[in-house]
Amino acid sequence: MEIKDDNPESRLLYLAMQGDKNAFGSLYMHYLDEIYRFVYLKIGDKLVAEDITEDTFAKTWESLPRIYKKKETIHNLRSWLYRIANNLVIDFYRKRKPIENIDFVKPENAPMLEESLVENELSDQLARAIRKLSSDFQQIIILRIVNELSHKEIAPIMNISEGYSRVLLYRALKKLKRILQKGRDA
Amino acid sequence: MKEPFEKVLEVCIEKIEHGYTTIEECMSEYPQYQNELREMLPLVNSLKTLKSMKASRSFSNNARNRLIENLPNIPVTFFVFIRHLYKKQLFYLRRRLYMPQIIISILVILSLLVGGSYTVQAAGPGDLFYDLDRAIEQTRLRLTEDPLKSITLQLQQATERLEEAETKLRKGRVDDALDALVAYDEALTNTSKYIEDVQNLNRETLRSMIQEELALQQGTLNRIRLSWPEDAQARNAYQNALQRSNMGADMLLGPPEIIPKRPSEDAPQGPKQEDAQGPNEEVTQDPNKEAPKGPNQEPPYGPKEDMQKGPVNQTP
Repeated sequence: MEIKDDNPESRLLYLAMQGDKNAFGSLYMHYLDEIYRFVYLKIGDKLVAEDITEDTFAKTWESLPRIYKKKETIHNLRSWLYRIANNLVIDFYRKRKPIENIDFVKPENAPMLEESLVENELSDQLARAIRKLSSDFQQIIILRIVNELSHKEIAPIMNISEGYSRVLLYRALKKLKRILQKGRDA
Repeated sequence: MKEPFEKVLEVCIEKIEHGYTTIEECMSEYPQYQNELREMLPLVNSLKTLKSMKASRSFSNNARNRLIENLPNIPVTFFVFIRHLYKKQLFYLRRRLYMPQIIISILVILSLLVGGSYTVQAAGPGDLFYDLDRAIEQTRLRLTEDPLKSITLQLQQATERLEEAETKLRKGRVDDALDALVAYDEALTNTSKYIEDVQNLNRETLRSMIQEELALQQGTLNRIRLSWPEDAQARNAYQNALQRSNMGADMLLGPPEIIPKRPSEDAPQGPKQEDAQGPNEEVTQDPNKEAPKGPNQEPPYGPKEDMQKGPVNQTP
């Protein structure tokens, strides 16, 4: 297998596929927060989200030799990671009921000013509303709006076309708006 | 041509993301979707705040080291495999290689234990494990402290001898069957001696127990009789066994008079006791003379010496 791209991520991945743990550790740190956010917004529990994030990378590491032996490569590591994370979230929900009351994790070292309190409250409200959406709607909002992936990147993760990804985003935002509206009315 | 709203929304989101435009500018750029954009774009902006969410610092700080420590060493190429082998880091792989051997060994040991104990248990005269079987029986007997339990065990072992004789006979191994019958005779003699030596036994319980076991033995003896070959030596051994069994509880316990009885019971039992005592007492003194005869009406013979002499000289 040869490195087709010359970017640092491809190099790190190539080394990781040869068993270099440090290279894989660097990739882990690069994607940690992104994957954590994706999992946390779907699960709503800080500790579980951290565990699932770690598991996502452990599972990726385990599958690397298999891919290497087939003389293949992971063309899109990000999409690969999201798919594994999503499967782990599904497994988690199969085993456990969703957690209703979540604790929003505020960025550490941030002063607890009135403004940030309001911001936290808003984020908490949004996170709760997201969890009330269907899995597809959750995923499209987190991937496109929160994690800022393009529809081109989202399509292989969700196994849909780019066009449908756009439609899905619109529907998801509409549904989310309705949920938030209901919450305010109540 | 009117652009679909999904596309317009995407364009606006992208432009706002990169800081090229604002919500208001976007709404004025697409007046036909003004209402929808007014509804969606502020929500998108609010959702952007969620991007500040991060894993806790305590988790992030050690995340890299923790993951690296927990990742298993997976050799991906032949050379890496050799390197791992050289470094003796293949414990995981070795364990996987050894597992089938370990499982097979456990299965073999288990089958030997289970099958072996069954083989020993089922061994009869002439079998490889017969001596071992007898040795185990003797050990069990020595370990039994309760006299009543010991007698039960001895009687069960005698029954087992008879069953061995029956099995051997069915297989056509007459010599082995003869050995089993001699062993049966010995077992009953030993039991009789043991009962004589032991004091303070509940005689009534003992008698009923012995009778029960002897009834079983009688059944086996009858089956043996039906399939016994017309051979003088064999008949001789069979007669001995039958005689022992017929003598039953009286032989093992001695005459019934030794059983303590209430005075009121003595009178009606008088004549019966005499009847019972007569032959039994004589049998214990000299079984060759007066012992009860078997179905063929042939005289019984002593246990072992008589057999060795041969039945020709002894038969009247």
